[in-house]
Amino acid sequence: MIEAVLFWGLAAAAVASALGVVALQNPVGSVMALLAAMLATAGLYALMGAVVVALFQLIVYIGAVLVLFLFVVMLLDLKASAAPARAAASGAAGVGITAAAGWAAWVAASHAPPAGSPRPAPGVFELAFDLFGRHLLVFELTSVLLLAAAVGAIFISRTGKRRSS
Amino acid sequence: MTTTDILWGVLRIVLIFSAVMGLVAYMTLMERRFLGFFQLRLGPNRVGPGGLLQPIADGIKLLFKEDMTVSHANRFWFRLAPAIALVSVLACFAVVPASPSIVVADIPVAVLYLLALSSLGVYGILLAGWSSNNKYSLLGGLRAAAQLISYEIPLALSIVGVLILAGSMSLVGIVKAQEGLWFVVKQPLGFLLFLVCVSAETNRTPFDLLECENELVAGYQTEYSSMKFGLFYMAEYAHILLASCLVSLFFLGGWNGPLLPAPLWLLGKVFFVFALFIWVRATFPRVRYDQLMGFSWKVLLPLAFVNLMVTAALTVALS
Repeated sequence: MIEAVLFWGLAAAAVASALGVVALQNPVGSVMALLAAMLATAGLYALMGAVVVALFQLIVYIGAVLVLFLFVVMLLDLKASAAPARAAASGAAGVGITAAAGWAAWVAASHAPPAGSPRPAPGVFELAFDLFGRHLLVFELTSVLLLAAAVGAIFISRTGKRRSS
Repeated sequence: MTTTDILWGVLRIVLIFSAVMGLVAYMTLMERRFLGFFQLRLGPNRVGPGGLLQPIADGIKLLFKEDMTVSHANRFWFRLAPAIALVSVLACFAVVPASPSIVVADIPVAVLYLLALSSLGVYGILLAGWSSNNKYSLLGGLRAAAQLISYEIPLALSIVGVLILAGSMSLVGIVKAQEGLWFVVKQPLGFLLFLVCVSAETNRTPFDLLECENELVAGYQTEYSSMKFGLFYMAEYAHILLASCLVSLFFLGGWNGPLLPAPLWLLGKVFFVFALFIWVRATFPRVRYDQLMGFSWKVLLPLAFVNLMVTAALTVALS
C-alpha cells in the first residue's frame, strides 16, 4: 500500500519535473527541475531495493554533473538567452527522439520477465566484485576513454583561447 | 512494521533532532567565547550565568528582526535556498550514531548516503548567491561551488582507507572495528587529509573564501536577514557538528572508551574536535583563491591516492 503510494507519487514527480525542464523559461529553473527529476528517479531506484544505484545517482548526477550545469547557467548572460529561437527542425527532432524512446520502452516492457519474486538488488560488495572481476577490462577501458575525453576538452579549450588572444 | 516500531522511529528522530539543534545553539556560544579567549578578551558573558543564555537571546533577536527580501531578488529561489542548505545537513544526521543503539537508521551504505546528501548542500549556497541578484553574492556562490566540488574528491578518497580497514560502510560497523585500536593510529595521513578537507567543506576560516568579508561583504548571504540568515547560520554550525561527529566516528574510535557511557565519550571527542576547529580558525589567516584550488588538486588529491594505495597494499600483504 505504502509502496504503491510512494511509486505513483515519485513517478508523477519525475514526469512533472521532466516537463518542467523543457517548459520553464528561466534556465536556472530548468536545471533545478532536472535536479528534481533526478531525485525522483533516485527515489524510484531506492523503492526497487537498488539503494546503491540510487545513492550513486545522487553522488554522480546531483553532486557533480548538475552543479556544473548550474555553474555554467549562472555565468550565462540571462537576458541574451531568455528567448531562444525554437526552430521547427528542433521541434521535429524532439518529437522523433521521444517517439523512438517510447518505442524502446514499449519493447523493453513487453520483453520483461513476468513480475514475481525479483532477485535481491546487489549491495556494494557484489557490485565491486562484478566491476573489478568479470568486467575489469571494460571498466578500465572506459576510464581510459573518459581520461582521453577530459584531456581533449582541455586541449580544445586552450587552443581556442590562444587563437583569440 | 508495527505501530510501536513507527513510534520508536519518530521518537529517535525527535531525540537526535533536538540534540543536534541544542548542540548547534551552544556551539555558537562556545566558538564566540573561545575566540574571545584566543584574542585576550572575554567574549559574550553578560546574558545569564557566564553567558549561558546568549544563544537563546540570539535566537529571539533573529526572529524579531525585520525580514527583508530585496526587490530585485528572484523570490522563489531566494526563499528556497536557506531551506535546502539546512535540510541537506540535518538529513545527514539520520545515519550518525551516538551509541550502538541510539541511531535513526543504521544502513549498510551509510558512508555513501553521507556523501550523497552532503553534496546537496552546495545547491543552497549556489541558489542563494544567484537569486540575490548581487555581484558579491554571485561571486560567493560561484566560489563555493568550485571549492566544494574540488574538496569533495580528496574527502571521499581519504575515507576509503578507513573503509578498507573496517570492511564496512555502516558507521556502527566502522566504530565497532576500532574497539582495539583507533584508526587515527593506522591512518595518520588519512586523518590529516580528512580534517583539512572537512574544514574546507564546512567553509571554516582558512578556507572561507565564499564569505570572505573583506572582498565579498558576506558572500552568498549578503542579502539575507532575520530568520533566513538564521537558517544559513544554523546550517553552517550543523555542518561543523556533523564534521566533528564524523572525525570522531571515523578516526577517534567513536563511543569506545572505558568507564563512561558511550554517548558521553562521543560527546567528549566531538567537543575536542570542535575545539580543534576553533583553534585553527583563531590561528590561520585566509588562503588566496588560487592557493586554495592548487592545494586541493596538486597536494591533497595525490596524497589521498598515495594513502589509498599504501593502505590497500599493506592490507593485502598482511592478510
